[in-house]
Amino acid sequence: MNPGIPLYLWCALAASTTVQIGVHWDIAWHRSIGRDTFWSPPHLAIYLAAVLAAVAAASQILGATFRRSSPVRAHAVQVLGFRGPLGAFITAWGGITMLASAPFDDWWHNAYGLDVKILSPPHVVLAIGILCIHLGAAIFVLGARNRADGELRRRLTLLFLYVQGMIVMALLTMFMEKTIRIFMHRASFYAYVSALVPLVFCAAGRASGRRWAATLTALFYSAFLLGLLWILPLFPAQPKLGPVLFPVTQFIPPEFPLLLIVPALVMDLLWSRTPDWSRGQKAVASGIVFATVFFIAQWPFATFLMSPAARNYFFGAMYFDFNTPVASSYAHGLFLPYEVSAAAFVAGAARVGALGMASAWVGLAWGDWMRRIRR
Amino acid sequence: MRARSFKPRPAALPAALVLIATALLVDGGVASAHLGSPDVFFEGNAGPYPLLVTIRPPEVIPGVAVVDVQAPDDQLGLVTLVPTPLRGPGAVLPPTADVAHAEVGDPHRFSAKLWFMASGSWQVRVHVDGPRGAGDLAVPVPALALRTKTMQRGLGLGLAALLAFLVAGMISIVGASVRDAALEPGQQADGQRRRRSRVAQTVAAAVLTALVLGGATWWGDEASGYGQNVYKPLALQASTAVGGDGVITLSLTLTDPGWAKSRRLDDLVPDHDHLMHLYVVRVPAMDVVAHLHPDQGQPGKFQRALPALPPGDYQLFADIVHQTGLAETATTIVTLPAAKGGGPIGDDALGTGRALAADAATTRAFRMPDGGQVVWLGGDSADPLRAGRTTWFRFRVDGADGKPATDVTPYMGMAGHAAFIKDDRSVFAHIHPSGSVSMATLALIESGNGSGVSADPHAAHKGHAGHHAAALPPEIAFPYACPKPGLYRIVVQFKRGDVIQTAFFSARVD
Repeated sequence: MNPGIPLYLWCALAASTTVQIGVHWDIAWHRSIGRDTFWSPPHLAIYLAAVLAAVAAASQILGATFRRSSPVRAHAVQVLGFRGPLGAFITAWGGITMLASAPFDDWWHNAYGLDVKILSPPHVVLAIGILCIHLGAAIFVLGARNRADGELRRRLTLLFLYVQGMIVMALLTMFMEKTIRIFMHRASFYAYVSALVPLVFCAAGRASGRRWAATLTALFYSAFLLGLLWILPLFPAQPKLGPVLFPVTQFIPPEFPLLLIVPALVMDLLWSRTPDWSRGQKAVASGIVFATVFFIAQWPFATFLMSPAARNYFFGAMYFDFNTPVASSYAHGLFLPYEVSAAAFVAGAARVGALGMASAWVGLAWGDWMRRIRR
Repeated sequence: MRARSFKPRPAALPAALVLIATALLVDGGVASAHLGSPDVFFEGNAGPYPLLVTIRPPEVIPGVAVVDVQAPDDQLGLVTLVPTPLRGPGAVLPPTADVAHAEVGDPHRFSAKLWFMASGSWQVRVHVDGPRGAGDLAVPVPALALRTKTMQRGLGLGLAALLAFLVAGMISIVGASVRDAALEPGQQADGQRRRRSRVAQTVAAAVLTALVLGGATWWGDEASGYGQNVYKPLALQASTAVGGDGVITLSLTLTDPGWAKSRRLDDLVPDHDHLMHLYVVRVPAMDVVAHLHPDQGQPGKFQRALPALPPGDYQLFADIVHQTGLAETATTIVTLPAAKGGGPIGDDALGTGRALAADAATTRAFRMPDGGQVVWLGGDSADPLRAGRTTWFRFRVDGADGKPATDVTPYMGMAGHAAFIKDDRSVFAHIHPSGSVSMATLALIESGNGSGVSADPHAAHKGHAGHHAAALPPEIAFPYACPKPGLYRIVVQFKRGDVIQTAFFSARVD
């Protein structure tokens, strides 16, 4: 542990990491073992993250609120009468939201039974909580970084970008059902990614002011996902619930990471050559660059992922959920048909470009605001 | 049977909170092969061990079923349970078995909770191991979404309070972000920052309100979508026509009110050789009961000439089985005019007893018209009937000479048939000595799943009354649990020689 980085920040970062491990472990659990008790280890990991976040936040908020002499007071903000760093409040809000989602989710399953999908109201409440855990950690780190200089500032910048990588993970996980590889030859897939990712890349670039910010963010995302892809299948797992349609003997990991690293590199290069452009100019260029470069990289790579050559440990295209019908497109390595006509494809492409630009603009504005955070 | 459709509440901001606090009520009633009696009772042999298996299916799908395995004669070492679909690819790849836990204080009982992940016809494969080796038994279970549950008041209020707190917290965080976040340490916010902060909080409040309302609408849509999955029984229409010979012909039409696309009306399979088993019960007295077997003309359209029934109102309970293994009961009321009528035809049976209301307490014996009687064994006042507790309802048939009958023969392949009907007609169950499962569904397990596990429907009654024997023992037993307290009519039908007889009992269930 670096003495320059305070414990509460490590705690917030641990929350950010634990929650992503927990979420992906839980998804792997559902895909290989099936629905299980509420007290399954991945669920505990997810809620442990909420507890870690609460500890990080409370350690700052309680002192600043109740001790006049607290050094935190100088860089505190006020929320509902409490004082503390802004990141602490966002982290705490995320933690409470996550904990609130637990009884709601449990009731939901008891009431409707529905669980086989990620996008349900209680899951979205959980996802918002998780996003705020990440966002809180990012702002926690950023507040400290913006008050620091030298080596500590450099390290905190790197940790900030690490959290940005986790945010990319969190956003893409929420839309995992819409972004698996059978969709990768559809405009809708590129629309989802272009709406979500440029925002984080641009925010990371602007707020950190660091060279290769987007690339580093993409690297953290890719490395984390590759770790899950390569580690999870090492552990045995068997379905506990029928119908079992596909034999499964180990944990089913997430798919190979999206090739976000390629557009990230190009965006970083673009920003390093256009320091004087306005936010609008940068947004237009960043959005178009992201959408185009990502499309050029991912489309052929998706074709490869569908091929027998990708059905191995490294690329992980041979893992299927126990409830994957053997006759499905997914099991057969077939894309869902892409847009029905040239006009539809062009419309889809235009949507992707527009979403990319809008996402980039929001990210740039958000990043500019975050760069100014001192508390 | 009620099947109210779900209507999301109209939303205003507090409406979202109200929505959480009061949650959503869908009362789909209960259903499946029986009416108001969704639990499955099954008696059969797993290898050398006679077992009584009770399965309480979940009310929501996916959901948890509670399985209870009783081995009255044996102390088993291991009982494992695996749910799989009755047919299709899922029947071939079983998931890991769940180990049932021995009940404390009762070495003959094991229980477990099992997840059912999809609607449809399922089976629970029971594997047992004990002193005499291993054995297997498959029990069919319909997995149907029967209702959506309401939220407990405390939980609803707690969540509403949390939501209010989180909304207030987020508005305050947005305000602090705009007012204070960019200030150098120690600096105070000026008037302009404070004004901007107030604007930002107003915008945040509006956005959050919109989000909460949007979430509430989404919740309503999801709940409404789930409401579509809630089981809706087949509708039954009945009409009568008096022919030239004075005999009433009953015409029945089954219609699908819309539920699962996979449910069809042209896929019925015979159960004990008949596509429909129809109980015609005079109401409210329940003193006249006919068990008839209408013939199907077109899919879903049935007809039967009625035996001589006194005029009045009759509740009809029509049992059918689909090719998918799903068994259903449709019900309606019909008023019969005064008319002539012949005797029962073929496997049809007709019986008359005392009015249910006259037997306000449990009755123990029923005198047959031929001088014989049927005695209800056990279940004395020291061991009252309790709702939800699986009980063997044991009956002995005595001849006119007062001795146990020696001429009981199979009636439609069974030692006997029993109907359990609650006085308010909210419960109807057609039970055999092997339990509540239709023979047609058992045959589907045997023929269709490739599991290699025999449902062994014949073994099911060997222990009590093997129906291949020329004459059956005089005792007939039915495993069942009355689902709720109240007064029940039990109609027991069996065959002596060539004569089908009907005995009436009343049962007070606590």
